[in-house]
Amino acid sequence: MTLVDFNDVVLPGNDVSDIVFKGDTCKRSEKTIGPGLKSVNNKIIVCNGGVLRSKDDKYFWIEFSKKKYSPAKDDVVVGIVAAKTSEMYKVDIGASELATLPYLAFTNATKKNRPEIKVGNVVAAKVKVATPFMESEISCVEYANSIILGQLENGFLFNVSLNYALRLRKSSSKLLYHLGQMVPYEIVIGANGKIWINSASIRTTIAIGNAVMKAEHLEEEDIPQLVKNFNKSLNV
Amino acid sequence: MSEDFLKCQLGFLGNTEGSAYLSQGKSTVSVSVVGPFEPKASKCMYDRATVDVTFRRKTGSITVHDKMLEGIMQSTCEKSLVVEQYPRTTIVVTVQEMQDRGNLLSTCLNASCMALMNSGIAMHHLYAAVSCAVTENEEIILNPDESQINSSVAYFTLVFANSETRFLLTSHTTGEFSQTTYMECMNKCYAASKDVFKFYENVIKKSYIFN
Repeated sequence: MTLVDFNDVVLPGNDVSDIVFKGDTCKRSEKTIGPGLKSVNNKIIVCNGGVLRSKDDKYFWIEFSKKKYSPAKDDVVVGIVAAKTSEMYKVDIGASELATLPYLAFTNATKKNRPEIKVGNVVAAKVKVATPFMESEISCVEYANSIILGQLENGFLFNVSLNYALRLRKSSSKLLYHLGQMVPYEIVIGANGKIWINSASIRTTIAIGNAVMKAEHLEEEDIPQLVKNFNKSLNV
Repeated sequence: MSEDFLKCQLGFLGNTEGSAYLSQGKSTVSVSVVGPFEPKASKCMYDRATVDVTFRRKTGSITVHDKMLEGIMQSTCEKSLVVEQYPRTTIVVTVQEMQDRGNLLSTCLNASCMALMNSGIAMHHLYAAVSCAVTENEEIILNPDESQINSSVAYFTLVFANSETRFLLTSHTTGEFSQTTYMECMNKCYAASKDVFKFYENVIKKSYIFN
């Protein structure tokens, strides 16, 4: 048995109970395992090939790349309306099946006052019910202090990998801030890897989209160079 | 096993969830994994995912023998995947033969394992397939070439999981052999499967080197 440490690459089937249960900062029952780990017969087994990460010796998870989005509660997602029924929309959020969006799940919607969204339109929504045994349900109802949800008009939609979408949403990501200093724009990054962008002209929208897509495999220190090139391409 | 016996490239197909291009000796296959997605209602199982393996020949339609290989791959893949985590979905694995110069089954199995790992679908364990041939004078050849297979009296393909104990997943045998020969082959193949797992680990390490 090879000993693994944090930030090491682990493979499915590896037993990491030793390292997870190690240390006495908190009780064994308080430790939490996240994505990519499962417990079998009091052992912690890896189920996705990736990098083992931990936080405060209490939370453990595997960082791995996947392309298929699996809905999780309270995720903000961007979806495309795929079908309409008498009381709900079916929205493609990139998961294994379409999510449902009831007509009443919009701000200020009533039985009489229905939202006017057509098939093919793009919406930003929050996941309300997420279980693999049922269709997931999403909602566009906005609460106080919440982000703005609902239909996204005009703009440009494209897909990136799930890991990159999560990285962009982190506050440490400087790319969006730098781009915003060059040109004003609106962006919605869904946890499902769909990104919607809108700005004053189509030209700038496409330029921003390209810059975001190009930055996926760049290091943080190469971002200023990319932004410089982006600014040049705007002024041609 | 020599250094360049196994070669692999991951994620070379853009529109699939996972893909692997693996060559083992002179045999090469490419595998794509699509899913989990919503299947037809008739194929749907309410508590688990279904795994669908399709094998494609380089030319022509597939034979009965190829259907059997499909069945072996299907049961091996299904055993290693955490199917309970994806109820009411299906996972499609497509195996395309690129070049067959012996050991096709073990190449297909190893490639499908890499592709499944690349797709990010949860797995109980990895698996490694090793083939060996037994000659007339009871000599065991690991990873034999085409002519050695044709002149052998028995030919095995054994699949092991990467658990701490020896865990035989699949055993496919042809020809006549004694029990002692079988046990001896199993020991040798198990030792060889460790090298395959080491190879898997190196491939994954390379793909995560930037993180």
